[in-house]
Amino acid sequence: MKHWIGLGIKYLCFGVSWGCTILVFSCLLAYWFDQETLELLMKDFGRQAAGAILTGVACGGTAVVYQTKRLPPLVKVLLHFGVGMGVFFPTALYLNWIPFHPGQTLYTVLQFLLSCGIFAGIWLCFYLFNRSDVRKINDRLRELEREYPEDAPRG
Amino acid sequence: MKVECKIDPDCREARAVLHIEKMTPAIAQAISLLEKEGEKPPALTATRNGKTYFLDPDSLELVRTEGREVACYDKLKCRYLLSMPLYELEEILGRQFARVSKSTIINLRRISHVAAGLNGTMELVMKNGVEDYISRSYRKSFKERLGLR
Repeated sequence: MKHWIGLGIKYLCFGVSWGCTILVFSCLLAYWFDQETLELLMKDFGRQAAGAILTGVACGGTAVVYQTKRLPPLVKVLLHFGVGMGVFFPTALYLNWIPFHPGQTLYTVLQFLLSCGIFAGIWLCFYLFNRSDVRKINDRLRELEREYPEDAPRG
Repeated sequence: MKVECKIDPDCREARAVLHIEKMTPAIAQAISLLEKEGEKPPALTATRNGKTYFLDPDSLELVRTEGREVACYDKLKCRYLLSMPLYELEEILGRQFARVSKSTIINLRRISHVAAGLNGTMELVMKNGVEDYISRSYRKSFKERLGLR
């Protein structure tokens, strides 16, 4: 139980830091390229910051689900993506990160799909990088096994 | 420093002679490392079901803290309890063992395979089937121990 509380706090902080980092970078981009957006952001800073933190926790913090061994891998991925996108989309609509105009639903849906694609892309990059590292390690392990068989003398 | 190494299959006892102007901490460390080369780590005292056993470190696959206990697993997956803290064991067990997380030391010659975790971690499976993981902070040193960069 203590272990899970510790993990929960760790991932919560991880999610909050992700949300805050993205908010800072968004503000920085707006400061450099679009002062008007920055002004709008600053006028509504409290809600925007809270939204960023909430999304950060939903997308990054829910990665805690991968720590459990009780669920199958596919369920873990679905939970992570489902909660992440399930929180992100309404928040994005509410805070106007994704503009919604009646009659232009397709545009909103495309924005949503693009967000999902970015989320999945980031996740996939991490996963593929990790997998290539794992392949190198396994190859090296096989190599070492051939070089130093189990019953060979030590030293 | 110029290093010369002669590989001689007939050599009975490995010997190193250093010609140095003065002793430096790095050379002292190298000497201590060379002296330990080929030295068998001492047997460990462990308990299982109230009985005490002397374990050959070679027979161990993995040592880790489990709650407040320090446990080790042998090739047959039998679990023993050790009375030493992990950091002391790390020194005793020697070069054949490596730390892979705050709580685990593994026998490098007894790894079955490594698998990619979904959250960027690496899952580790020992030959006896015991599973653990390599934490991010120990990944670099683990790869270096395998001779990878």
